[in-house]
Amino acid sequence: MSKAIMDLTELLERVENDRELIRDLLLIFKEEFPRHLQALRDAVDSMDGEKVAAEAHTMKGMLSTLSATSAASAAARLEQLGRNRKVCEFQEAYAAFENISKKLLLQLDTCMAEVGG
Amino acid sequence: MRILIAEDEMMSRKMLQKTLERAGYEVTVVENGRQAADQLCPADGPRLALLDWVMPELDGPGVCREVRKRNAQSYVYLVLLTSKESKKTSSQDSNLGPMIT
Repeated sequence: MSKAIMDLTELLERVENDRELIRDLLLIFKEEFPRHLQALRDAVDSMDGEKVAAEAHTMKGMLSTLSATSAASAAARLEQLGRNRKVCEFQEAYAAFENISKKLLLQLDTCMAEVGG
Repeated sequence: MRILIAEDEMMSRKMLQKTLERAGYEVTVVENGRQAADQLCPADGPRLALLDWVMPELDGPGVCREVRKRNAQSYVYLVLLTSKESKKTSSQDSNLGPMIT
């Protein structure tokens, strides 16, 4: 079984076991994240450093909120590359980020079930 | 006590709101810096605010400048939140007022 991207135990601790809040956060994430991922993909394809940095910054925040540390780090790398306009590294960093994001999306339903959603 | 949260990202906003409500604060939430400045500038507005640094319409430092310029009646405590990793800040900007980082 692959390693969990989201640390549900840490998140439960951080929100003082407020399972209803976690359910709300997961629902927002499921709704919003794919839209941001597509916007990031478009920004990477058009080599727009400013947009890459802005989208990656937003997604880094969302992932940190969910205690998805490794995914947040991958977003932080893209944000930095975008700020520094290192366009030649965009595709490789995006591929790594997309890979980890897909694993996280697969984990969400399990997390939702664990918090009673 | 009333606290204003200004944060454009929905998940961070929700997390902050629930955490502060659980602690007993009366929380008002807005989604951009312009709305935050409009709430904070009146003399009877909240006296404490948590502001995201990067926001649409007006960023966190921009809200600080507006509040310091327009609200002379009562002091408003402003806390800027950021996940930016750069150590560069606007702490030298005298329009922001006294600042602790």
